[in-house]
This record gives sequence, structure tokens and C-alpha cells, in this order.
Amino acid sequence: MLISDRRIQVVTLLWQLYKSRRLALQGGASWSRCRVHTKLAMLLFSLSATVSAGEFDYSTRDLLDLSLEELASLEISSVSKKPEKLSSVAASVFVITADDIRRSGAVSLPEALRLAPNLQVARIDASRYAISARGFNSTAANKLQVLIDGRIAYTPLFSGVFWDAQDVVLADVERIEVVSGPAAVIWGSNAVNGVINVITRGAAASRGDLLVLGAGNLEQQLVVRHGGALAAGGDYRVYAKLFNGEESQFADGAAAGDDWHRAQLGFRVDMEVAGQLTLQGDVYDGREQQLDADNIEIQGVNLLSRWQSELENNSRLQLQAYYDHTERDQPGVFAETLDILDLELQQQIELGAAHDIVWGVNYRAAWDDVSSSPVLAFLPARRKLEWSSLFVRDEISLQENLRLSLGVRLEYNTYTHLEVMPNVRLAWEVTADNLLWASAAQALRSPSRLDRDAFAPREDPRLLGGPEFESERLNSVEAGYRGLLLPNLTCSVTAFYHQYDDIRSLEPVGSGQLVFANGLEADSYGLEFWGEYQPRAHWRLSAGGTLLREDVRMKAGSADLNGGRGEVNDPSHQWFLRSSMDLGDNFQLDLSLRHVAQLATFAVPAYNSFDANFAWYPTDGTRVSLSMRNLFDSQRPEFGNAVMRSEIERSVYVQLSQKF
Amino acid sequence: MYNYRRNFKPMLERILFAISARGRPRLLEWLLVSLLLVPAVTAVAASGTDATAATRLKAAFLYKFCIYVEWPAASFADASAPLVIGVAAEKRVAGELEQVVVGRRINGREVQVRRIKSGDDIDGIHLLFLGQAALAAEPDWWSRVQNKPVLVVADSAAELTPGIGINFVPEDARLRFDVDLVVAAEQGLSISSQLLLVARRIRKVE
Repeated sequence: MLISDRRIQVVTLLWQLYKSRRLALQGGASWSRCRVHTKLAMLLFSLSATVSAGEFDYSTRDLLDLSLEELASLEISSVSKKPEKLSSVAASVFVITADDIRRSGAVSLPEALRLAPNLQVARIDASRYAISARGFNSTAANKLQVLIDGRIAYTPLFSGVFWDAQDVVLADVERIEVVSGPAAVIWGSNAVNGVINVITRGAAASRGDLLVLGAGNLEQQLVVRHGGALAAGGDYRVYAKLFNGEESQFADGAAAGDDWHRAQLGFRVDMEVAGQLTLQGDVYDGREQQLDADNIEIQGVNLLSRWQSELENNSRLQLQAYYDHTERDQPGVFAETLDILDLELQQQIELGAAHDIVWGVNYRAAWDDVSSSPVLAFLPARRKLEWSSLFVRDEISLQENLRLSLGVRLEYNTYTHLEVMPNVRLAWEVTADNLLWASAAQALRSPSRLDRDAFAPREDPRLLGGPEFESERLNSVEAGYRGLLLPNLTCSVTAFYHQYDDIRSLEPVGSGQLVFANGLEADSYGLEFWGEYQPRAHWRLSAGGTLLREDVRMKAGSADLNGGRGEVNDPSHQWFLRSSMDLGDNFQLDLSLRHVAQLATFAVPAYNSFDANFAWYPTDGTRVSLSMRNLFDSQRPEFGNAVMRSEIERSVYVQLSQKF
Repeated sequence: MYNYRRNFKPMLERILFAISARGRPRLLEWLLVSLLLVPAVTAVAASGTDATAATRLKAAFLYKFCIYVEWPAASFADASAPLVIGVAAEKRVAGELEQVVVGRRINGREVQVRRIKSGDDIDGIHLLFLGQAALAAEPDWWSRVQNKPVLVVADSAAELTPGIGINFVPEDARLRFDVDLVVAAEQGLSISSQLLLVARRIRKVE
């Protein structure tokens, strides 16, 4: 299927290969293959390989007595995972690299996500964002799976992400994989419209000390990180991050009173223990002001452990467990404490030459306790939700350049019980550098607490969660091309058609009440495209965008309060152009122009954002950057109703980053 | 604006409070902790050997490479100066090498192993092995070895990463390597044809 296993992180390799193509054009170099001799060597040593069947057990001293040919023919299981090329991933995947993030001047995770052409990212106010892929964006967008180092970031309260509670040290992010389109087999039931997978560097890659000090008119931050080697073997890092966000303002320039601040501490340890063992955790606390109520308070602690190991017979095993505790108190609305436990076992195994199988089991439990307010209640206030799932995916090599992938996930959840999510993908490598792929999938969003258990207001409610609310469903077909059009021009195009059923509606029932139900259906189709052109070794141009059409309809019998318009607030198109230039050895200049079409539902006008980022490396390990965003406008709205919506101001931000 | 006393001090206190003990752990908390330990315990139970086969093989290859590469005479202080292998971010490989080079000589020279951290001086090193972590932490290592007689060996680096002379590449459960003669030529290194015969791919000088 797509990223054959999110933990095996094939995409890294793909991306490296992809990047290498960019560089390849600089030298105009030619590679010649030395196949003949290799085959000969393999023939000569195939006998010993069969006898030893798997890993050799020579000591290093013994190895020195072998010839180079003999060394090259020895089998070691830990490198059995064959690298794949980016052009072989049969999905619409965009990878935001660490370099992209650095050069963009992004200060927060949601701002970094603006780099992905296949996401809709709209800032709501100082601390809140609406982020989705392939539409259905809202303040409570609920069809995206978001993971940070394998930990699911969306809350079962409304199946969306509280972006103010999710933070990472951007300097330690290795890459962000953004998949648009359903990917439920590998990633779970919320991966309806896409997946965001934030992956931080291993601890070995963040040794030494780092200080980041940044200040601008919209935000200030201080990051201190220390990394080193453990006496017992392995590496660690610890970090602290303080962040302060200034308040946004309304259209008339009045202050929105939503300034906020946040502190976060965290660590990560990686060590080799018969494989790779990772322990990591974060603890954070934040305060967000409100105009007419007490501060919102958020707090959380999470702890994750993961062990990956190579087994015999080209198989790979992963065990992961994490605990995630979050607290959120929104005075006047609700207060929630939530404990999540997640356990997963995953194995990848190659059967014969033709079958590459990934299977896994996952158990996830969430205990929450939601205190109600006069405005909103969740009843019962305490609830335990569980999700158990089993998934398997077989990637079959039909021919050398044709792969068929069959996958299915079975999930049992507290609300709707058994759900089935199948997926078929086909990848055809037309040439080594050009791939055509197609996919048909069913995915679903299982009900959240909001859909089932909400009551507003608490007394004599007018809006009620639907006791019968079922999963929202998607049938999708998509097809794409990715490859090298010229030696220095890469490109990706995806066309998709989504057919949704049982989308959430608000149905009036007798006595003036409204109930959440599955009264809507929808079609959407569109194009996603991006490419990179590197005219010079020191100059890269990139462009990308999406076209999106959505048609939401009320099903027979539905009398949705919003007439089907409550769930979609998306631009019909958006695009960006970006130039990344190295000016000599010590300077970098990045310019980008981003266009987002109007949001018809809210009457948010179309906007162009011109951003510039200038970086200077005065000495080794020092980086000084100046980021300017939204240079065209003094401020602009990106989301929400014209009444009382915040606008995003022009920003100027200076940052010093120093490695020791 | 930033106000430590008002904004952050209370938060840090709350964070410290949250991670400090709050009385006797309840059953659920014990359960959580024990479940979190599952991967670690499994890992420890499954561990046995010190260096993996891949580690030992890489160490052996690095030593062998030194036999088949000729450095310019100027890169050695004198005829008896040692040949120095630098290893960055691969402690286990360094450990294996340190053990086996004892008492061995290549072309009459002693072989020394030096462990390198990011930012360390690399003067005097002949062969530099960059683990994946080292390359990820400092992608522009190459600029430090440019036009110097230092053979850089990388582990699964992206193809044509600048400055990489030899790159280990996993292939079908075996460890293979690519050789970049263009880089080697720039650095004044001469690589024997015996080594090239075993290489998976070779980038030749046009």
C-alpha cells in the first residue's frame, strides 16, 4: 500500500533517494553498474549462504580474514528491509523536510504545515487553527489522523486536534509526512481525508547543546536543548521550550484578548537493545486568555516506549506503548481530563519474493471526565472508550514493476462496534523514475464524544448528541503520477473522487431541539499537484496547489439546520510558489507567495500571502534569521464568521539559533 | 509580552508538581507503568550479543577499505605515521575496530581508531566513517573534507551526497557499497581496482 509501515519509515529512504536525484543533476555524473561481477560473487557464495541461513556469526577478527567478495556476500538480517524509491509510494504523499521547515521560518507546528500543498491550513486566532486535507475543514475538523512520533494527537472528544496542546521543538523535527486521502489500513480509523505524521530526530542526531531565542510582534520563544551519549550506551536529549503568543485582533483593530503562553519540557532516549529501543515523553502547561472569561488552562504529560527489532527471515517487529494524559479547562464551556493508553504490535514479513506483508494489532483505551458548564455538558460525564483493531496488508509483486497491495483493517469500537476498512492499491513503475498509481479505499470516522454525548445548554438542552450517531463513511478512488519529468524537475499529480455518506447533520426534532445525526451525503473531487525545479545547484523553485469541489447534500428525510453547509468551509483552490536560494556560503533567501481562494460559507475573502525569510550563518553553529510573513496586508482573516473573527497580522520575527 | 514571574514561573511549578509524586499510585497507574515497560522488557529479554552482525561487518569493511585505498604521501607525517580511522556516531563500530586493529599493520603502518563527535577536529584522519546519525546531525560534513585526502565512508547516505567516497548500501540482506571515483579523484585518493570489482555501483570520472 502506501508507506508500507509507518514505523519502518520507508519514506525516509524514499525521500533521500528523491533528494539525491536533485543533487544528481549537479554533477551530470554517470553511474555504471557492476552487475556481472556481483552475480558471480553471489553464485560463488550462495552455498555458504544457504548453509548458514541468515545471520553469520563470525567475529570481527574472523571477518578480517575474509576477502572483500566474501564480506559482500554475507547475510545480515538487520539490513534486510529493501529501500524503496519515492516514486514507488502509491499515495499522495508530501514530505516536509527539516530543511524546508528551517528555511520557511515557521515558529509553530501548524505554521510548518502550511508548507504541505495537500493541506488546508487556516489560522483562527492567536492559538487556534483549522487544518484539514481534501476539505471538510472547520474549527473542529475531524477527518485527519495526526501523529507525533507515533502518538495519536487527536482527541476522542471531537475527533480533531487541539493544536494549542501539540508542540514540538521544530529544530528537532526530522520530517513531517503528509498523506492526503484515506489511509485507514495502516493508520487507523480517523485517517479519512489524510494523515499528518510528525517524526523527530533520533537522540543520536541531536547531540550537543542548542539555544534558540526568537522574538517578533506575534510570538516569542526560548528553546534550550541538551543531548549526549549515555554511559550505558545509547543517546539522550532533554529540552525545555517557552512560548509566548501575542493576542490577535479583530477587523476594526480592537484587541481580541487571546494572548497565550506555554511551557514544555521533554526528553528522548534511543538505545540499541537487540534492536532499537526508544523512550520519550513530554510535559506541558499553557494559559490562554479570553476576552470575557477566565483563562483557558491546558496541561498534559505523555510517555512513550517503542522497540523495533529485526527478526530472522526478513521480518521486522515493533512493540509500542504509550500513555497520554491531558487536561483542558475552558471556563464557561467545559473542563476535561483525559487518559489514553495505547498498545500496538506490528510485524512486517516477507513471504517468498512476491509478498511483503505488514500486520498488526492495536488496543487503545481512553478514560475521560468532562465537567460541564451551563452552556455545554457531556453525559455521562465520565466515560471509557475503547478501540481494538487488527490490520493486515499484503503487497504483491505481480511483475517486477507492477505491485498490487491488498489491505484491510477491522476495528471494534465502543460506539459502533465492528467496522471494516478495506483498501486496494496498484503501483506501476513505468520507468525507474516514473510511477503511475491508483487506489480504491473505504475509510470511516467513528463517533466522538461530541457526536454522541453532548448536551447544550446543560439544562433544557436545545442541541443533543445523537444516541444513534453512526460512523461517517468514505468511498474513495484516486490515481496519481509521480516522477522525474526532466533530470532537474520532479512532479506529482493526484486526482481524487470521494463519496461520503452519513456525514454529520443537525436535525430538528420535536419541541425545538436539534440532534446530531448522519443526515448528509457528499461528493468531492479535485486535483493535488506539486513539483520542484532546480535550475542551479544553489537555487530551487517549488510550486504546488489543490483544486477542490465539494457538493454536500441532505439525504432523504434530513432537515439539516445548516442545509448541508455546516461541515465544509474550504477554498476551491489554493497554490504557492517558492524560491529557495543560497547566496554564497553564509546566506539563504527564501521567498514564497501563497494564494488561498475565498471561503464561501463564511465569506472569508481570498488572500495572497507573501512571505520572506532571510538567514545568515555568521559562524559554524550559529544561525540568525529574519522572517516576515504576510507582507502584502497589515492583517487578514483566514477563518470564521465575520462577526467577532480574529484577523492575522503581518509578522516580523527574528531568531538566533546557536549550537554548542 | 514575556513575563517570567507572571506567565512561566507558575507553569513550571505546575509542571514539576504534575511529574512529582502525588501520593500512592493507584492500581491504574501501576498498570500503566508496567504496560509501558513491555517494549523495554521485551527488548532486554531479546538482547544477548553485543555487536550485531551488521556492526561487525561494517567494522571489517572499514578496515579492508584501508588496504585498497592509497593516500597521498603528504597525508602522513612520516613513513611510520599511523593510518587513522575516524568513526562518527557509531560507537559500536568504533569499539569493534579498536579491538581488532591492535597489532595489525597496513603497508607497515599502525592503524589507529579515533572517535569523532560533531564539531571535532578531523585533521590527521585518513578514513572517516559517518554513521547515519552523524550525517543527519551535520549534513554538510563534506565541506570539511573537500579537497582533503580524507576518504569519507557513509552508511546508507542518499546517492550522490556530496563528498561521500564510499557509501554502504543494504541490498537483499547483504551489505554492499557504492564507490564515487569523482570524489576520490578530487581528494587525491587512489582506489584499487580490486575494491572496485566488489562495489555495487561506481561513479566514474567522465
